Parts: sequence; C-alpha cells; structure tokens
Amino acid sequence: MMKPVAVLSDNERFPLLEDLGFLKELRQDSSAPIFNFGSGDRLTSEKLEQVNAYAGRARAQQFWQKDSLPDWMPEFLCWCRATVPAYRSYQPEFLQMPSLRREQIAGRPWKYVSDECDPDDMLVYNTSGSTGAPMDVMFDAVSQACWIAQLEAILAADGISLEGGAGRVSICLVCNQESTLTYASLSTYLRGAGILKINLNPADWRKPEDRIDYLQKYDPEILTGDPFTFLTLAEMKPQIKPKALVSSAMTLQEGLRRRLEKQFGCPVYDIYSLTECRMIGVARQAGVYRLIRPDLYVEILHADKDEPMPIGERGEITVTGGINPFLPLIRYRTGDYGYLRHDGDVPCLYDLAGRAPVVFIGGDGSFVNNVDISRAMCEFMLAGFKLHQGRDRKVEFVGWGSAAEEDIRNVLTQIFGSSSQLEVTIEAAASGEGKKVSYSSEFTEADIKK
Amino acid sequence: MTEVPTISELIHHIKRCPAEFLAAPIRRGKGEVNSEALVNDVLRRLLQQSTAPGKAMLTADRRSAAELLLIQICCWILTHPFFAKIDNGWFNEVFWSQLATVAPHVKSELWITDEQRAEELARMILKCSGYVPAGETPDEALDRFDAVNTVKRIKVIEETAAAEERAKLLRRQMAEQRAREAANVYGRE
Amino acid sequence: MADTVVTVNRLKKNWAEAWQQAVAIWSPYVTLREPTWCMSAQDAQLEGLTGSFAMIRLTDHRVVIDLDSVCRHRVGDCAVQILAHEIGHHVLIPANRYDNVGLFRRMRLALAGIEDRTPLVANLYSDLVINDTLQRIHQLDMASVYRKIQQNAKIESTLHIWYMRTYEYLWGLPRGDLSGGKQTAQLDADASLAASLIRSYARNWLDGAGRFAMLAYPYLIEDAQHNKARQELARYLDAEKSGAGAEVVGGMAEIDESILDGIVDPRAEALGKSSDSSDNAADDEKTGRRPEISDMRSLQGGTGPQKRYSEPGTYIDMMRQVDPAADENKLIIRYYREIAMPHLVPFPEEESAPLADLLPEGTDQWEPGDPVEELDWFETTVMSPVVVPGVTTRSRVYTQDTDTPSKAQPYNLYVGIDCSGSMRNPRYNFSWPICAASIITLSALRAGAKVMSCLSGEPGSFLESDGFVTSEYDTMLVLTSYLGTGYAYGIPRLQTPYLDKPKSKTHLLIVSDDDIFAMLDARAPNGELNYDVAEKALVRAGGGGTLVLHSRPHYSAGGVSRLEKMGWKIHYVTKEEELVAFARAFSRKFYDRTGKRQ
Repeated sequence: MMKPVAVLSDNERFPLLEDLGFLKELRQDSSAPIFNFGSGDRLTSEKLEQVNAYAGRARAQQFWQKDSLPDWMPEFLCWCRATVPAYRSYQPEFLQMPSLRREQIAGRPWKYVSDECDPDDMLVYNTSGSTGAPMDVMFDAVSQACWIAQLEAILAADGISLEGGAGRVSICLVCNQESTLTYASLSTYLRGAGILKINLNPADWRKPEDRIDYLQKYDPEILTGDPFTFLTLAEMKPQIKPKALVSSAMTLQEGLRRRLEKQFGCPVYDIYSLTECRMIGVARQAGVYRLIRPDLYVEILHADKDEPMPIGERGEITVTGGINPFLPLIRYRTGDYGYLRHDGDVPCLYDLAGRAPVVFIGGDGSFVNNVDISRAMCEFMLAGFKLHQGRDRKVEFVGWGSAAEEDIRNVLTQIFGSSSQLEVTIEAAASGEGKKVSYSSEFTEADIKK
Repeated sequence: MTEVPTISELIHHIKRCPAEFLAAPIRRGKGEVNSEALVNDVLRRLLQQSTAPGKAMLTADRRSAAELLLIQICCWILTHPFFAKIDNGWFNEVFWSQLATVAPHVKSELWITDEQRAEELARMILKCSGYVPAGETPDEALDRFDAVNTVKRIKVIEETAAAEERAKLLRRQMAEQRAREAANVYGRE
Repeated sequence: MADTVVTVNRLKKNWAEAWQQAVAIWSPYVTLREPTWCMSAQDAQLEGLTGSFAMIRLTDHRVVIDLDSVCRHRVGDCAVQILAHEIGHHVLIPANRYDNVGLFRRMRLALAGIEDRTPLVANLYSDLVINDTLQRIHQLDMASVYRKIQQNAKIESTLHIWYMRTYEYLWGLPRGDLSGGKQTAQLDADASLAASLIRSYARNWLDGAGRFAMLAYPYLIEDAQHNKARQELARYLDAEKSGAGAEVVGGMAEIDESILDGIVDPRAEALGKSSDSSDNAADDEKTGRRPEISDMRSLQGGTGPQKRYSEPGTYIDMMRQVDPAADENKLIIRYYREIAMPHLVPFPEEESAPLADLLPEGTDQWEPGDPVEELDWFETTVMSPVVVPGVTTRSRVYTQDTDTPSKAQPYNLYVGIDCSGSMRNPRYNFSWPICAASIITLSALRAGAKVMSCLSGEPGSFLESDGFVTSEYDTMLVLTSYLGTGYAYGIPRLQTPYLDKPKSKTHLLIVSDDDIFAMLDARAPNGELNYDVAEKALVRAGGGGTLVLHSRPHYSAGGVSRLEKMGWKIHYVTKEEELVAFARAFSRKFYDRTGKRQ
C-alpha cells in the first residue's frame, strides 16, 4: 500500500462544510475500523457549482444519434486543439484524428493538460492498471466529484435517489485486501453525507464483529466494490438495506449478481469504468453495458487501423470527451473490445472483453469464441475465473467461488467438444487474483482451421 | 588575391576594441561619442577620402543605445586592414540598419568579452562583405554563423519556451501531488 | 588474457608517472594521494566504480581509475587529461562536501519535479567547467579525449547531443565532431546558451548551477529520455556519488535565500531585454513575451520557525542524493535538531561542571560548513603549510567522560504525542508538534533528565521508547517516526509499566487536540474509564502533568475542568506555530540551568 505522505487538515478537505461533527462521529465510533487515512472532496463553492451543473446534464441522458457525432464534439475538438499541447497539431476533422494509446499518455501526461487548467487544482492518482504500465492520471476535484452525479443518473433510471445530508452515510466503498487506504469522509455535493472507505480484512478492525456492527449502524445507501468483495460481504450476512450495489473493476458474473440482488434486496449494477475517464457504461443484465455518459463519445475502432468498425462489429472501444480538463481524451483506445449498438436512443456495448480476442481451438480444430465461455459461466456462482489453453489443446480452468467442478466440466465439454482434455479447479472466492475474468491461449489466429 | 582573415584572427581583433569605441553614444544631448561622426570617419578612411562630406545618416535619437554601441563596435572591426583592401559597396546604410534587430538581445559589452558573440559579429560582417573566412568552405561558414546567430536563437527559444515552462510547471506539480492525499474515491476502477 | 595483463601493467606505470604532471597543472601545493588503480573490472566494482573508467570520492579525497576500462575505451594515452580532470573535481568543482551539497541544492530547485536527475546534471556541469578550464586555460587537449570516446558511441538522447554540442561551441569544433548528426535548431540554441554560461560562471560555478540545470530540464522531463541519456552517458559519470559515506553536512535544513536569484532559466533571460542600463526605460522597445517564471520562493517551501527551513522531505531527499548511503533516521533527527537548537535551554552551568567532561580523543577532517570553532589550527598546520579547506583542515574530536559527578536530578519527562490521522508526517512536512517536542526533549536531556517518548494514534498503533532513556537518538527516533492511525493520543498508553512506579519524579506532557476528549470518554482495554487512567497516572508520576491542546478553551469545557481538578495543567494553542513558544517556555521552566523546577 502506497500511502501519501502529505496529508491535509479537515478544513482543507471540506472548504464548504462548517459542521464536521458527523465526520468525527464516524471516526470515533466504538465499532469504527482503525482508519489509516483521511480524505475529502475539496469542493469550493465555485467547484460545487460546476458539479451541480454537470449533474443537470447527466440527468438528461441525451445521447448522440446513431451514425452521428455528439453536438458538443466540434466545440470540444476546437478547444482541445487550441489549449492542449498534445492536440495542437491535430487536423480539425474528427475522423482524421489519430487514436491514442495509454503508453503515449503515460510518458508525458503533462502534454494532455489543457492550458486553461490551474496547476493548483491538480490531483494525481497513480493507476497500476490491469493492462499496461503504471500511469499517473491527473484530474481535478470537480471531475472526481462528478462520479456521484453519474451514479445518480444510473440510479434515477430505476427510480432510486440518494438522500444524503449530515447523519446519513451515502456511499461506502468496500474493499477486501491485505492493506489499503481507509477513511471516513463527507460529500459536500450530497450536503455533508458520509462517505466511507473500509477494508473487510479483520486486521483493520478492533474486533471482527465490528465490521458488521459498523455497517449495520450506518447502513450506507450505496455499497461499491468489486465482485470478490461483495461475495465476502454476502457471506458475512450483515443486516443492511442498501438501495443498490455498484460493482466495478471486473466483470460481474450473472450468478453472483442474482445472489447479491436476492440477499440485499436491491439492484446490482455492473459498471464498466477506467481510471482515465471514470464510468463508461452500466450493465443491469449480463453482457449489455448501457452507456451512461452523454459527455463521453464511444466509438469502435479497428484493432490496428484508425478506422471505425461497421455497426455491430467487434473492435476496440475508443472514447472521446469527458469532463476532466487535466486529461481531455480524443480517440483514446481503452484496450477493451466489444461492439456498439443503439438500443432505442441509448448506445450500448455488447460482448465486452479485455484486450483482443483470445483464440481457443475446439476438439475438431475450430475456433471457440471466449464470449461463449463468458456467457456459459454466467450460470455459476463464481466471482471470477481463469481459463488457459496450451499448444496441446489442453484447457485449464480455475474458478473462484462456489460451483461444482463437474457442472463446469460439462459446460466446457459442450463448448470445446467431447475430445478435449479439461482440468477444472474451484477455489474459495477470497483466493482470487487480479482481474476477475482472464483468458489466455498459446494459439493465434493462424491456427484456426478454415 | 585578397587574403581573408580567419575567424579567430577577427575575434582576436574584436576583443582588442579600445575603450573609446565603447563609450556611451550621444542621444538626446547626453553621452560621449557621436556615433554618426564615428561611422563617417571610418567611411572616409576606408574610401580614402579624408575630406568627403558624411555619407551615413544615423539619426541617433531614433536608435537605441544598444544599437548605437553595436554600430560603434562595428566601426572598430572595420579598422582591420582587411576591410581597407576589399570593395566597399556593401558598406552602406543598409548594413548599419540591420544591426537594430540583434542589438537589443545582447548586452553590449558581451560583443567583445563573450567568445561566441564576438564570433557572431565577425561572421556577420564577413558574410555582409561577401567573403568566406580563411580555412572554411562557404557551407561551413554558413552553418557556423547559423550556430551563433542570436536572432535565430531567440526565434527558436520564443517558439518553445512557453510550452516548456508550462510542462515544467505541471511536472513539478505532479511530483508534489503524487505525495499528497488526493480526493474521495467512490468506486473502484 | 596475458596480453591484457601486460597492457594494464604498462598502463599503470605510465599513468602513475602522469599523476604528478596532472597535479602540477592545477597547483603544486595540492596534496592528493596517488589514485587507487584498479587492474580489473572486478577490482573497480569493489571500489564502487561501475559504468565509468574513473571516479572521485570527496570523503577520503580519492581518485579511482579502472585501467582495464581505460584500455577498453582506448584512452590509455590520455593519462594527463583524464587524471587532471579527476583532480579538477577535487580542487575546482565540487571540490568539497559542502560545495557539493550547495551544488545539489541549487540544481534541485531548478529540477523541481525531477530532482532525481540532480546527480547526473551536477556531474555533467562539473565536467564542462573542469574540461573547459583545462582546455582553455591550461591548454590541455581535452577535445581529443572526447573525440576518442565518442567515436563509436551511441548518440541518440537529446541530453547527450546537447551536452556534446556544448563542447563544440566551447572549443569551436565543427558541428557533429562530438555530438553526432542529429542536432536541431533548438539543441543549437540551448548548447549556445550553455556554452556562454559555462564561460561566464567558470569562477563562480555555484551561481551558474541553477541556470545550467534549467537548460537541461526539457531534455530530462520524460522518464524514458532520462533513462536513455543515463545509459549513453554512463561512461562519463565519475562524480555522481562523490559525496557518499560522509558525515552529514550541517546547516542544510535552513534555507539560503541568496541562492534563489540563480534559479533562472537562461532562455527566459535571453528573451528578456538585455540592453544597456544607460538606456532610458521609456526608450526600450517592447520586450518579447517572457515565459512565466515559477515562483521560486514557493518552490523552496519555507517552513518552520520564521519560515526559514526546507521541508524535511526535501531535506532528506537532497541529503540522500548527496550520499545515497545516508541513514534516513539520522537525517530526520539532524533536521529537527538543527531547527530546535536555537530554542534549547543553555547547557547547565551550576558548579561550572558540564554534564560530562569532554576529553580530546583525536582529530578528524574539518570541512567548510563545519562549525569554525571545531577547526583545530594546530593540527591543520601540522598537516600542511598550505591550507586547503576540506583537504588539509582538521577538527578536534572529543569524547564524553563517563565519570559524571552526581548532582540533583531534574524531573524526568514523559512526552506523549498525538500521531493520529490529523497529524502530518514529520518526515515529509515540517511538524510543529515534533519541533516543540524536540526542543523540550533535547532541553531535558541537556539538563540531565531522562526522557520517555511515545507516539500514539489510536485506536490503531503507537510507538514508544524503551522506557526512560538518556539517548538523544533513541528518543528523537520515536518522535520523528509516524503512524497516522486513529483519531487521538491513546490515554491507555499512560498505563505503561515504566510509569507504574517511577524511580524519580516524572512530568507528563501530552500534545493532542480536541479529539482527546472523545478518547477520555472511552474505556481502556482493562475496562477502566480513560479519565481515571489519566488521573492515576498523574498521581504516580509525581511531577505534574501538562496537556497541550491545539484547540479552543470553550470546546470541551466540561472535560477540561475535570482534568484540572485532577491536577492536569491545560495549555491551549490556537495555531500550531504557538507550540514553539510553548516549548521554549516549558523548557525554561523545567530545565533551565539548575534542572530543577523554578
């Protein structure tokens, strides 16, 4: 755990909040975890106004039309070319603009900062990244706080709203790690509501029971976390009534979603997001991510050429726009693949998967699409799984969660064919590593039997 | 054939510039040296017309002290015997006026104390006279003049300095902010 | 193999002969020992010499030469030039540890955000100054050495090209002679500025250091460029670690305002109007737009009493760059000690007996920056008739006489510091509570008291000294650590066995904030109310107790009166800065001269 060494005072963390009594209560509660850090939203009145303005736009959920660019695009590109050093030499035409990869930004992120940015507003977040090299992502307090507005837009679609206000914990980010930064904080945008970041690791608490007591006492409106953590939380059976669970960082498998929805009696959202631009889409059911950011244009590009793929064809998910003046994106390749289709007025991403498709070979030498595997695995109560195929066509599968090895073997046999050699292992959910779903293969496209 | 001096010989000559040529030019009634008179004296000597009327009009009041001082220094350079031997058609008001561009960028004393500036001046004057320094090809001479050319250098710096300063500022801020607590994180990426 | 040995042996003979000649180029009075000759790469590695064929150590005034590497770089016949260059590091730049730190200090300010590049830039700058002096003043053919080494070198990184192009400017060499074929107009401009700078600041090289680093900045801003440059220039880096293994140079916590004027970008200077001062301001033509120059004062980040000090993080970083082997704990203690020093009580004078008699033990190197009163002129003169600071100067070393006369003991001191989430990390940001605690602790130790120190951020963690100690290091080590857990000083710490039946009367000093009252309302692990824990501890300690709160009196009036009834003294500070005044007053009250309460 990298712990920042320079900390702020509570007044610097919450310039607009007069009464920090609730914050002290959250920290000093007899069942509170041993918080190891402090944090705030740093919103001044001017910045809060910007967050509120953004919230209004987010609520409207007005997306671009199919086959056309968003209305804001020309102005945004113009602004980028005028104020962002890296974009200064770009051609004016959007479709002529080159795409951008993570490595390009990572080496010189300051070239992507708009000249209009005040360096004093800069915040830095280091992302190790599940793919690619570590990168420092710069952002400001406004774009950070807008996460809540984006969340509200998601909840609003299901008629859910956040109550907020002092005395109420609105969001609790739950982790389950060896060590991580933990803190009690407030949200100025939610009128002084509590924000918690906690770690379920018993070592972070005075007594293991405190974990349940504390959560039950403050009963957060929204819990956020990754599927692994939610599984651990579910097994602890806290008597809490969240309005929604927000899962991110890795794909949420359908079986786990159903269990969580049943146990907590609320919707469970699977968020597709990146540190570089925060939220992109949300899935209420497996495989379909509805876009949630009208300010973030999504297109599907060819893996190797800066050419949009025909509608409905798979390619690299590429984003333009966003609200972070420290990193305005033009055709930023996310490293994730999928295809895009309008569902009514809302664009949706389908068959989302990290990186380029991995080639699996069936018993008869034919190509096996990993999307089929992902779909099939939705039926199981797995927090995640890892599937690898060697040159000898042997398939090794490791799943984390609770499922019968025999059932998984049956499903995989259906996909790979009866002649395939399978090795299936199921481990406890807590032992899972890294990204939740991972595919690897020693085959390439050249190996597919035509 | 006229023997062209080497650049180092001219630099050596420049560095020996007597104090009289470096005295403050008279502008608006103040100063010690009448630059225009100095230029015309040098002209008369080179043209070997000791009584001819003044050929150059400098209107000193409209020029900066830096420019007038540079003109005075050039007067000294032209006392080198080489310039008495060559054609002097280039030696007109156009020559004197072009010094205005470079003069404001250089502290006057540097023309004779700083090796590079002395070289720049030597090369500039030789180039104006249409000669290539001894021991150099025309291409070499041109490249070396480019390398010490103040006007060119200033242009390059102007084009890049602001962007570099901004990058530096952001880089420094990044280093500071990396060590500092950021802001609330609400979900995991 | 045998051939190589013969070659290296012959080289050693030639180079040893060249040594005196090289020394004489600088001054016949320079007394440097003959270099350490390494006959193989392995030998060199043992001396800490890797990458380059030569290096210098300021600590023991050594030059180390890897003859095997000299062979490989085909510079065997450049003995005088190379040796004179290495001697130049000892006599010209950086010359001594004090100026070495000064060089780093200035360059670090200019390299804000990329301070890790400082040793590289300092080495390149030193080399330019030395080589130009040798080539121009001492007529040594340095260019030929570089030409040899550059012949097959990879010259891709912009820093490398710029650096070599600067030599071309300095020595009037044809374009590409040393710098390869990839110059640009910008590299030309910057090399031209660098060459002028090296000439102008050859004598006052410390003043040019910031400007040089500013010129280098754009070529080092990206990590990838930096790494590439390092690789390509590795063979030239002979002084990067020259300050290693030395004692900490004193006086570096305090900011030297005078160096700020030199942290200027020569590009900005070039764009600024440079015409004569005799010109009327009204006459000046419009100057070109000057690039925004960062606010240097904020860069320096003045902090602590009178805002006179660097941030501790900056201080540690710099000192560790000068000496990568320096111990961080020692550095941070040194830092707070330097700041506390002016505020300490004087040494006890009673019966004219110092705390312990000081016995002369021997002598050690005295370097510029060390206290002048420690300079031993007699020993220095014995060493050499010509005094070269940092080279021939000696200082006397004393040892403490352990036979301390018995005398009345002052109250021992227990210092408990709130080190919860609301406290800053004293190793990164200057901490007023730790500064105050240092003043009081060091004063108490001076007066002969024993001190127990405890950091506590609870619920969470704590760190305490091993009971009551007399060691400055032990007690300061606790104070300068950091926890950042919990919300207040944990009152149950007062239940430590060391306070159970203290041998001598002990004063309890606790520094916290208003959150201490939530702590007092909670219960200790044994079920006791913390208020009761505080009361009992006070009685047992027998020397009174002071609670210093960064808060306002009316916030927790009930809790305050409860503590006061027990006998606790409550002292409020509304600003953290006031802690230093409190610490001075407290130290004088308890530990001035007699060490007894007044």
